[in-house]
Amino acid sequence: MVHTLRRNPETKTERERERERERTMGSRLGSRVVYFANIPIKLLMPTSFTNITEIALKTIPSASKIEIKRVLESLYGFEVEKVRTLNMDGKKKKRGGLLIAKPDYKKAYVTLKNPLSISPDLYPIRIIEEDKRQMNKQPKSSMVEEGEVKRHWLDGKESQRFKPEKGSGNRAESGAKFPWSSMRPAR
Amino acid sequence: MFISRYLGRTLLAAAKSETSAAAAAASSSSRTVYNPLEEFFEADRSPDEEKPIVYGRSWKASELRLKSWDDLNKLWYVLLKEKNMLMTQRQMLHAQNLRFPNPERIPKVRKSMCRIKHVLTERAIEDPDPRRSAEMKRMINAL
Repeated sequence: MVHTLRRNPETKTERERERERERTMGSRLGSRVVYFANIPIKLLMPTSFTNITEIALKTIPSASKIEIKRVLESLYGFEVEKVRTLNMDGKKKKRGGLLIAKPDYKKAYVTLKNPLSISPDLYPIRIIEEDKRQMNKQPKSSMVEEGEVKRHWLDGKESQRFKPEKGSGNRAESGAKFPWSSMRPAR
Repeated sequence: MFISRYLGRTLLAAAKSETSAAAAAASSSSRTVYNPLEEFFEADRSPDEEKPIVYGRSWKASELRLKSWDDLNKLWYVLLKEKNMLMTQRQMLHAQNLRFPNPERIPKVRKSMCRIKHVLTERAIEDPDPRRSAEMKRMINAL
């Protein structure tokens, strides 16, 4: 920064010229301006479609909170209140000696100042929703058969229930049913 | 906000007419409703697979050399948004184990962005003033 005392009118003009040059060339202040931002931002599926106050993104781990906030505000026009980030490792599989790794990513939760809503008619959302609904329906239909409730193999065996006993007094009568009836249950 | 889309929708010559028409049409409606979340999704694409999706080719270096620095700057951000949209789509579809159609669009966008930087670096190298060229190179290669 230029905090020197004013001495001669010649140096003053020189300093002004330097300041002019800095303003136009932007060597010190301009180094903070990024001209070609290259941050990939992948939006995760929002939880609901109306009144969205928080959205989740995935980016590269070297993107900082401030960068993400700046890019969202200037490029997309989001009104960002705050950004919370966390670094996640990609899933890694080890097959014999070979390690198959997915890239590490950074998750960002962005709170918006005003809630937004989005229509599910935009391209991939409808398909994904239908797919999710199908997936959720299938396991329910396979478990319930003709109105039967879930059965357990111990349900009809109330009569054969034995009490845990330290002594072997009941061995004779319960030994008739099962050889192991006098044993204490494992749990 | 620039309305010009990348070569995926229209070619160079038609793009200019489209931007003027779209600007006239959108200026009345853009102030009322503008959802920035929609920029992560593709516009006018029905969920049914009626007809094959038409998308264009990537930008060529010879075409990019004709553009000015501001044009290239704007084009860079248009391409960046397109790339983000495609990657969002791919990530969402893969999360549900669905197929991502036309995955070759992403490398096209990426290579167009690479060519923009290449053209700008060429211009920076030819600059006679070494300080300005160094600054330009720093600007171009910074993230």
